Parts: sequence; C-alpha cells; structure tokens
Amino acid sequence: MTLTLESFEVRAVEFGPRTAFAGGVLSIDLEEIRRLAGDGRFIEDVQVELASPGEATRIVHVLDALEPRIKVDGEAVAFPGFLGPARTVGHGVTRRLAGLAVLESAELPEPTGGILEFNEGVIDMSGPGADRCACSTTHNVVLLFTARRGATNREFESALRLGTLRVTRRLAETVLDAPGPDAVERFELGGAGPDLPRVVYVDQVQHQGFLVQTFLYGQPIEHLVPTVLHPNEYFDGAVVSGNYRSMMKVPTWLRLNHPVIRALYRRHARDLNFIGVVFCRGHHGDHLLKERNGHMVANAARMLGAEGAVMTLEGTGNTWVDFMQSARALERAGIKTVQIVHELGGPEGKDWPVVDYAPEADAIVSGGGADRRFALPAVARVVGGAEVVFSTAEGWGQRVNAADSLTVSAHEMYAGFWMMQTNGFTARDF
Amino acid sequence: MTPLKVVHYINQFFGGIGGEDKADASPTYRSGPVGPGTALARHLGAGATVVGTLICGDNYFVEHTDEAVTELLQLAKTYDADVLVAGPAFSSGRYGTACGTLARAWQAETGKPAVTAMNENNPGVELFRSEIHVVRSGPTAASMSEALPRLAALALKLGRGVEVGPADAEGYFPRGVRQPLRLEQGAGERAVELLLAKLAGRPYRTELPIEDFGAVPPAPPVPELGRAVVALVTESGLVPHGNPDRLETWNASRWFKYPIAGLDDLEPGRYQAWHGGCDTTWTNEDPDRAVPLDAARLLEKAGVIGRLYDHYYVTTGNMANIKTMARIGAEIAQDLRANGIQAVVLTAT
Repeated sequence: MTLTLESFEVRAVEFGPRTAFAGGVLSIDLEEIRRLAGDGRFIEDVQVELASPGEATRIVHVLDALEPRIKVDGEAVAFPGFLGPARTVGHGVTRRLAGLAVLESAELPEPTGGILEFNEGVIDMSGPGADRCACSTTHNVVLLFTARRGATNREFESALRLGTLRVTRRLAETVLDAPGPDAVERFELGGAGPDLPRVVYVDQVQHQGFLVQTFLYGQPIEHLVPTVLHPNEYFDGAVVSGNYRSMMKVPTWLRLNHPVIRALYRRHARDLNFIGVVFCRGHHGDHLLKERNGHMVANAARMLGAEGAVMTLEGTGNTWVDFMQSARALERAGIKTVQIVHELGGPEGKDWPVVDYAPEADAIVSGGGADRRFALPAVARVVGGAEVVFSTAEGWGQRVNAADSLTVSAHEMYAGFWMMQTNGFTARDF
Repeated sequence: MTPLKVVHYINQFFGGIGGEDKADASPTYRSGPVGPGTALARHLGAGATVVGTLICGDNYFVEHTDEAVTELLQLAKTYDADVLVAGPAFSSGRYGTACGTLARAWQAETGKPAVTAMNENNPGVELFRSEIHVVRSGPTAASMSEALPRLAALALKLGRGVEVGPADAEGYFPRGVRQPLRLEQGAGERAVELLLAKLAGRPYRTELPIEDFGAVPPAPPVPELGRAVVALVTESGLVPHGNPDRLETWNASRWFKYPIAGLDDLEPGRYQAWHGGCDTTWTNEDPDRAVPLDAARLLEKAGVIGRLYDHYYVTTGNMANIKTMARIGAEIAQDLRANGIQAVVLTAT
C-alpha cells in the first residue's frame, strides 16, 4: 500500500470573490463556506474568521481541528465513513493544503456535566502559549457555529462535524487541478532489510462516551477491540476526533500529521522496519477489560511479528491503567516497549507524576509536567467568544475574560499534553 | 573573579586524627585542605580555594549532634566561606549523617549552599537528598577519585549561583523535583532512539524513573460487625446540590463530611456528583448509587452492622495527586478513629 502525499503550501489565507488557491494564497468565498458548513435543522448560524501565526490572537471554544485533504484517484475518499463509504484509505494519491487548518468553535446548547462536557483549551497564535498548543503554526479558518434553538448537543455536535468536513473537502478541491505541489512524499511499508528490528506503533486513543470519543472510519469506537491499521490510513483521515477534553485530545489535524508515525517513517528501512499500527482505546470500564485489552494489543503485535513497540496514550487518569497493562503484556510477549507520556506532578513538579505504572515500563519518554503554570499575555483579538471557563482556574470553574493575561498550564491549552510532547518539552529529576 | 572560599568537613579518619578508636574526637579545624581536601582543591582549580577544614569524630557527632553542629558552625565562621563541602562519606552511615546534618544546618544558618557525596547505600541519602545536593559516590574510599571531580564541579556551580543541571547529568541524587526542560527533538524521535537502543541491547535511560507506589495491605476482618459503627466514605464527589463547599471536580485537595442522621435515602436533586472523570448521570439519578445509604440502613435495621455513623465522607478521585490523596486518606482515617468508627464502606467510581 503506497500513498503519495502532495503538499500545497498555504502562505496566506484571505476572503475573496471565489474559493480558489493560487500562488500560495487561499481565497475563500465566505458565503459559500457558510452555506456548506450550515445545517438548517440544527445550526442557526455559521461565521468564519481567519487567524494566522504570529498574530496576537487567541482562539477559544475550539472543538476539532482538521486539515484539507482530498483523494485524487481511486474509489476511496478522504475522511471515509463521513464523506463517503468506509473504504480502506491510505493508498493512491492524496493532495493536501499544508499549513492550513479548519477549526470548529462552538458552545454546546444543552448543559453538560461530569465527564461528558467540553473542557476549554485555548490556541494562542503567538507568545509563550503557542509552543504548547496545536494549530498555532497554521493559517486557521475558524468556523464559528451557533446552535439552533431546540437542537440537542448530539444533533448539533454531529451537524457541525459534518459541516466542517464538507468545508475541509471544498478547500482541498482548490488544489485538485493545481499545478506542481510544493512537496511530494511517498509512504509505504516493506522494503526493509531482514536485519532491521520490526517495530509497531501502539496508539491508545481516548473514548469515554459522547463528547469524549474517537471515530474510526466514521464510527465511534466504544466496543472496539485492538485492531491493526496501516499508518497511511491516518494520513487520509481514517481516525477523526470527537474528544473535547481539549487539553489532552489529539485533534484530527494532529493525527493527519501524526508526529509519532512520521518519526517511525523517517527511520523506516534505515534503522528499523515499521510494520504497522495497533489501534486501541483506553478508559475501559473495569480492570478485567483493561487487562483483556492489553493482551489483545500484545497478541496483535506478536502476530505482526513485532520486536519493538512505541506506545502513546490520549487522555489521563484511569486510562494509564489500560496503558500500563498493554506495556506489561507486550513486554511479557517479548516485545520491547517505549512509552510517550505526560506528567501530572503538580505545579512544582514535586508530586508523583503518574497514577499507575508497571515495572516493565522502564524506557519512558516524557513530554514534561503538564501542571506547570506559565503566563499568557493579554491579546488584541479573541476568536470564538469573549469569555472562557477553565475547569480549574486556581481551583474551580471560573469564568474569565478571554482577552486578558492568564496564568495557565497545559490543562488550559488546546491539545496541550500532546503538543508539549511533540515540541520537545520534557522533565528531568533535579 | 575572586576565588570562591570553600570550607571542607571531614571525619576523624580522613582528618588524620585516627580510626575508630578516635571516633569520639570533638570538633577541631585546620587551615587549608587536609586529606581528601588536597585532591578536592586540585579539582576546584583556580576558581576556588579550600580555606579551611572542619574535623569531627563520627561518634562524637552522632552522640552530641546539637553541640557538634553548634561548635562546627562557630569554627566555620572564621573562614567566611561561600560554600561548604562535606565528605565524601561513601557508605559510612555515621559519617553520612554527620555530613548531611552539618550541611543542612550550614544552609539554614548561613543561607549559603552546601554539597556532600555518599553511596546509594548510605542512609544519609534518603535523609538529606531533598534538601542538599548529594553527589553519587562508590561504596568505599576507593572511589574517591570519581567522586571528587563531581563534588568540586557542583561546589563551584552552587557557590557561584550558576544553574545546576539535572541530577543524572550532574551526578547527584534526585531531590524529588521534576524540572522542565526543552529539547531539540520531539517525543516521537526520542522514543524511536530509545527503542532502538533497547532493541539493540545498548544502554538506555528512561526519562521518567518511576518509584514504587507501595502496596496497601488489606485490613483484617471486623471482629463483631453487628456491634461495629460503620461509616460511608466515597471518592465519587457526591456533595449536597450546588456544591456549597466547592469540592474540586479533579485534582482534589480537600474532603468533606455531610450529615445523614435521620435520612434513609439520598434524594435525587438534593445531592449532586461533582466528579469530572466519569459519567455522573446515573449517580445524579440516584445518589445512593455512590453513597449506598439506603442499603446501609437496611443492614443497620437487620442488625448486620451495629450502627451507621451519622455523616458520610467525600472527596473527588479524578486526576488526583497520589501524595495529596494519601494525605486526605490519613486525615479521613484520623477523623474516623476520633469518632469511634470500626469499619468503612469505601465506594469508588
């Protein structure tokens, strides 16, 4: 399975008379995009705002973030299961608008509580927060959705996801006939020498229910057992995020540009033999299910012939137990493992950084302390709303002016945990 | 730059006074370096001078700790030093205790830094490493030549107020603090490097060494449950509606107790699960699912338990800090004991 990924670099984005891409500039027909994103049954209004790297701009209430991608040939579509049948993707030619993200920003119409709620995670387009959030380095087309009166959270959330995907496809269509991409990459497994170690990527994603869920080929994965994916499937949008624990989520944009899959591909056929992905969920309801999941992960990896595994987790708390069960099962199956994690050791780094561990997990890569606090400056412009509620602003759901200077941690940043890992943050014993 | 002034503490043996038979020697001092201090001075180089050496017998120190510390600090004043170096104490327990105790007192008294060196088997490591930089050394004086350069390097940094690097890079025992760093490579690249090393059997080092949490042994059975006072304790975050005391939904730092005297059932709408880590729909629908008051009253009426305590205890167990939860557990346990409770039903989410 070979995927050719052709990148068209977006250097600027602007509103214009028609939606088109030329010379690195993406022009957007505002009314066309509003129409495409809308759904009269559940969505009252869609506004569109643009934000670019380096601006003193803060984006709030962001749900998912996507990147425009489109399949050039074959029967499959990008974002399968949503924009077309759930046919296997990851082969053929895909075109993308590189350096561009389409963001959904919305407030849910119905009250929420417990786990099933939105957690604010902001995007700062410049300043010290920019390194700790996703989509601070992309030109962003932000779709601002307002729910129609009477729409339920489920109706509204589902409608805006589909609306955003339609916009994403429309923007990608602008490069269907464009000449000469800025970059062409080929991704394929195989071709590695027999002496190179066989390595899998174990991707434990978050799924706890509505508003904290992940989609595989258009379907939620509540009852998923560990399954094998080709890494190229991620690049065509087989995995879509519906997880609004914003700080810990892995946005679809990040899965399309997956930092761990890309790291493994960079060394493939040179230093290792990348043989595939074991895709699984965490947050199983009890210990027996967590253990079962771990054994099934190990079994899938073993049957692929893996000798080593790089593991990541999305989420925190409870799901560490699932993660450590998988690490233990893999190691006991003779598969050597490395885990990539965040730390929750308190603002000063003096507390225990993890809630569960297995002694077998003796090679951990740390993205650093997510509880460390830092200052965000006041900003000139806020996109998405005037106020934010942090689940813990010095303790308890506090409504603050979104444009103000704020003292935050990765808990208040969009995809903060994963972006700290991706951007080289770590921690050491001192 | 004027050279730093270093004062060096050693025991009677390294001070040339004598062996175990002289361990009762009381504090004394010499100008300039003595014994291992000579090599220490060489490693310190031109940047620092060993201005004096404090010496005390190991037995004297541990048997007359307060006097020893007072006398040694008094002697140290003569030198007006910038930094105290103590040891290395290797695996000698009394010597390690002396080095750590004096170093801690020096830091507290003068506000200036101290550094010592010990072997991992020295009990002084656990006693002092959170407060003093303790350089790793081998078990015996045979490892002197490895310990002194690191000791000297750290003394220079601490004395000059230069930022000290991570424990593994500088060679000291972790002080129980995780500090942030930023690296060139992202986690994915580093994970691949680490895995390749592990697969090839090359040495590798985790970025997050994890200590054992320890195990909680199950309590013995309650001898006479029919006469016992039983309490309901929960981490489900169930609080009176509106969360009057502002219990946190995650990373809780507090616990509360709420009255249940005279109640046979927790009515929906009057209580609310304040927990950000699980679906609270079912608890809110029937709060007894989190705090089983209705069932406990039946057991009380049937005489299975002696009496139900007239409050329930609650905190939130979500993304919680383990040390904080251990503290909360201990506080609740203390309150339970103070109220004569013999058994607890602990409900989790």
